[in-house]
Amino acid sequence: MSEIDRLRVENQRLSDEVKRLVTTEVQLYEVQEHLDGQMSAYRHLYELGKKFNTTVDLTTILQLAAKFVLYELNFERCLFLLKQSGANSFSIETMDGYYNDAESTVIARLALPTASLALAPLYAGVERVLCLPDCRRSELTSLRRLIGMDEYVVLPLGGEPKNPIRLLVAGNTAGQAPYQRRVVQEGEALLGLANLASQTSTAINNANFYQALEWERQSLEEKVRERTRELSRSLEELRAAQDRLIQTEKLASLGQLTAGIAHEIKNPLNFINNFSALSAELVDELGEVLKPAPLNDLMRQETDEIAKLLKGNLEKVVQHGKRADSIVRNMLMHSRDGSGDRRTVDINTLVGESLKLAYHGARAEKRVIQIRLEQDFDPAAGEAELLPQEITRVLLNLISNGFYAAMKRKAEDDLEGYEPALTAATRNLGDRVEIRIRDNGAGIPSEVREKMFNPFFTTKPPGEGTGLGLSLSFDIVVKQHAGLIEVDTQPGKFTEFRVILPRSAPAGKAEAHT
Amino acid sequence: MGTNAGVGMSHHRNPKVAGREAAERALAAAGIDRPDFVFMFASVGYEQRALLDAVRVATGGAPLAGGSGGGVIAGLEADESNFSVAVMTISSDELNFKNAMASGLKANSEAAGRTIAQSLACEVQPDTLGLIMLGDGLTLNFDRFAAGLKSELQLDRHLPLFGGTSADNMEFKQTYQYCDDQITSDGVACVLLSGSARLAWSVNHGCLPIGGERKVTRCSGNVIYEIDGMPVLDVLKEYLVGDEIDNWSKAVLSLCMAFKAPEQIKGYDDYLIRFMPTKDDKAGSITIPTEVEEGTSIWMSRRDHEKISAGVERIGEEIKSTLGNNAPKMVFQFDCIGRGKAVFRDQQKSQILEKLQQKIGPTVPWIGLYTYGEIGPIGGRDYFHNYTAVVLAVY
Ligand SMILES: Nc1ncnc2c1ncn2[C@@H]1O[C@H](COP(=O)(O)OP(=O)(O)OP(=O)(O)O)[C@@H](O)[C@H]1O
Ligand SMILES: [Mg+2]
Repeated sequence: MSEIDRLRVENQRLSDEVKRLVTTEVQLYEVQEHLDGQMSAYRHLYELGKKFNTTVDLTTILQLAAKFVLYELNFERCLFLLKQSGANSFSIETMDGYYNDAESTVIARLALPTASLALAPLYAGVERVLCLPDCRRSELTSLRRLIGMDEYVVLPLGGEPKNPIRLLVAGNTAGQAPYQRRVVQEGEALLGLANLASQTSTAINNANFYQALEWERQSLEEKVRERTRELSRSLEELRAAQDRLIQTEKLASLGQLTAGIAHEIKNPLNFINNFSALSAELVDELGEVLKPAPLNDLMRQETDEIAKLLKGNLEKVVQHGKRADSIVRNMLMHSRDGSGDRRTVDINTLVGESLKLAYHGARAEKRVIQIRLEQDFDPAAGEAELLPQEITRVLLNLISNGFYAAMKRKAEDDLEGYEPALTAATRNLGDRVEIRIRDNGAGIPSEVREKMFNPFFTTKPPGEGTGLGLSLSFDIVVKQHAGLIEVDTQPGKFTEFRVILPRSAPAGKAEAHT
Repeated sequence: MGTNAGVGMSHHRNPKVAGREAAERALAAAGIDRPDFVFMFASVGYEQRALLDAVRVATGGAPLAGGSGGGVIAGLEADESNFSVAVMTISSDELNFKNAMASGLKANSEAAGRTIAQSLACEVQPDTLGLIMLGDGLTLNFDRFAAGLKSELQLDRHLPLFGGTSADNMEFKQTYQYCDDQITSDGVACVLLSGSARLAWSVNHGCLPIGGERKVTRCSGNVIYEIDGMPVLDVLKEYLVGDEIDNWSKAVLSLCMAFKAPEQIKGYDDYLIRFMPTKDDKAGSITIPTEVEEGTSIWMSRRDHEKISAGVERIGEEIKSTLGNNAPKMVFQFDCIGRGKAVFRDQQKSQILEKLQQKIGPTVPWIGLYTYGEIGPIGGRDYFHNYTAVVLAVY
C-alpha cells in the first residue's frame, strides 16, 4: 500500500469517526434539551406554587393557573369549569386563550351537562379524558365546537374522587395546533397538566379554608364589637339610672319637706282666704250700714274712699291667697304618689287631647298665640297602663313650656321667616312607648338644664311661673310610672323632651311611696 | 434632532394585545409618539393579520417593513417561542426609509428583484446607504433576485444588501413578509436606507466540515441530485442517525453544506455555508438557496459551539473597529435559526448576545430575527449565507 493510499484510508477512518461523534453529539444534545425542558417545567410549577401562596383569591388562583397552561405548558386555550352545588351542569369559571370576541362570548355561556357522556370516564375514576385530532367518538367530538378546541384534555379537579366539582380543560384549535404543545396520548405535557391540576386544587382548598377561617374571624370580631356596644350602652344606662336615683332621692326628700310645709301652711292659708273673702263682703256691708249715717259730704267722701281701698286690698289678698293655695296644692302633689286610677289608654289619643287642651288653655290664658302644631304619631304607638290625669299634667306642662319658649323666641329676636312650631310625636318601642314634645324655641342653656328639674326653679319673670312643672313631671314619670324623662336641646335651634313609659304598671310601684 | 429609535417586545398570546404592547414599548423606549418608520419581526404562532393591524394602529400607520422568523431579538432578549413580536420605531430627520414589496419568488426571483428595483429606483440618492431585505426563506433564490435588482437599478456603485430570509417554526410550511398593511408569503419586503449616516457590519458563520471533500456530480440551478455519483439523499444518510432524514427540519439544523469561499473573500473564511431548506423524496433531490454547478466541491458540515461563540466575538470586534468612538443609532441582527436554541441553551445564548451588545453599545436600540438565511456583503460583493450571523449597525 502506498503512503497516499494509507493516508486516504486513515482519513476515511477518521472522517467516519467524526460522523459517528457528530450523531452522538446530536443525540446528547436532544437528551439535554429534554432535561432542560423538564427542569424548567418543574421550576415554573414551583414558582406557580409560590405565587399561589401569596393569594387566597379564587379568581386570581384560577387565572394564574390558566396563564400557566398557556404560557408554560403552551396550550392555546384553557378553561376552568365549575359545578355549582345543586346544579346539573358545569359552567365556565375562568377562560383564557380566546381572543375572538364573538367566539368567547358564546363559549363563556357554556353549560356542560354533568350527565354529558364525554365526562362519564371521569365518574368511573379515569384520570383524564382525551380528544385527539383523529378522534371519532361522537361524545368527544361533539364537545369540540362547544369549547372551541379541536384537540383537548379534560382533567377533574377537587371534589370527591369520581365526583369532581371542577374541570380543567386544555387544548388547541386545529389551526393553531402546529404552534402549540400538542395534545397527545401521554407524555410530559399531560404530566404537567396533572401536576398543575393538583397544585391548583390544593391552592383552591387552601383559599377556601382561609376564607372559612376569615369568616369565622369576622363573625367573632362582629360579636365582640356587638358585646362592646351593648356593654357601653348598659354602662350609659346605668349611669343615667344612677343620676336619676340621686335626683329622685333629692327630690323625694325635698318633696316630703315641701309637703310638710305645705300642709302646715294650708290651714293658715285657708283662714286667710276665708277671712279675706269674708272681710271683703263685710266692707260692702259696712258701706250699707253707713249709708243712712248723717255725715257731711267730705267725710262721706273719705269713708267711701277708704272702703274702696280696703276692698281693693282685700281682693288682692284673696287673689294672692288663691295663688298661694294653688302653689300649696301643687306642692302637695309631690307627695300624692300614685293616687288615682291606673287605666289602659291609647297613647296617641292621650297626646292628641293634651295638645288640644294645652293650645286652648294657652289661648284662653294669654293673648292669641300663633304657633304651628304638628303631630307625628306612630300608628303602632298602641296603649299603655298609666295614670291618665297625671300624664296629661306632664304633657300639658311640657307643651306649655314649649309654647312659652317658642313664643319668647319670636318676641325676642323677631327673626325674618321664623315661625314658632311645636311637634308632638309618639313611637312604639316594643314594651315601652315614647312621647316627644319638640319646640323650635331658643333651646336650654346648660346651666338651666342642670337645675330645671329642681322644684321652684324657673327663669320666668316673678309671679309668672311656679318652677314646679318639670319637677312634678319628673315625679310623675319617673317615680309613679317607672319611666324616663330626657331632654335634647340645641341652643338657638330646638328643645325636645322625651318621655318614655313602660306599657304596663311596674308591680308594687304605685303603693311604694305612700 | 437626529434619530430616536426604540425597540419593544411582547409575548402576549393575544395577537391584538401583543402587537399593541410591543409597539407601545418601542415608542416609549424611543421617547416618541409618531414614528417615521417601523420594523416588525414576529414569530408565526400569531394570527398575522391581527398582529400587524395592532402594530399599525399603535404606530399611527407609519410605514412598516418586516418579516416572520423562528424567533425575535429585542435588546438583550432573544425569544424563540412561537409567540413573540419585536418592534422598532424610528423617528429621524437624518435617515430616510423607503419600503417596497414584491412576491412570486418561487416562480421568478429575478422578476421580483426587478419589481423592487422599479419601486425604489426613484428613491435611490447619492446618500443611499443600502437595502435591507426580508425574503421568503422557503422560496428565495438570492442570486437571481440580486441579479434582477441590480440589472434594473443600473447603479455605477455597489448598493450593499443586508437582511435575511423569513422563517417559520421549522415546519418549512409558510413564512411571512410585511410591508405597511400587506402580509404576503413567497414575497420579499425591502427597505431602502438613505441619509447622512454610515454603516458598519460584520458577517460570521460557525460551521466546520466533517470529513473530506466531495463533489456535486448532478445538479440543475439550485437543485442537487447526486454527490460523488451517489444519490444525494443516500450521501446525507451517512451523516444522520437512523431515520433522522425523515425529520428534515431537524436534520438540516445539524447538517449543512460548505462551499469553498471565492478567492476575493478568502480573508473572510475558507467556506461559505448553505443549508438545504427542502428535499424531494420522489426526485431524490435537495434544494439550496443559491445556484450550483456540476463539479463544485462541497464539504458536509456541522455547527460548532466554539466557532460560533468565537465568531460572534469577532463580529463585535469588527464592528467596533469600524465604529471607532461613534455610537450606533440602531442595530439589526439577522441570525440563523440554527444558531439559536438549536445549539445553545438559554443561558449560553443570552451570554453570547450580551457580550456582543456590550461591545457594540449596550444601550443601542437592537432588533433581530432568527432567519432561514442571512444576507450580507463580504469584500464589496453581496452574498447569501446560512448558519451565519449578519449584524448591521447604522451610525
Ligand atoms: N321648652 C323649653 N324651652 C326652654 N326652656 C325651658 C323649656 N322647658 C323648660 N324650660 C326651662 O326650665 C324652667 C323650669 O321649667 P318648669 O316647667 O319646671 O317651670 P316653669 O315653666 O318656669 O314654671 P311653670 O311650669 O309653673 O309655669 C323654665 O323656667 C325654663 O327656664
Ligand atoms: Mg312649666
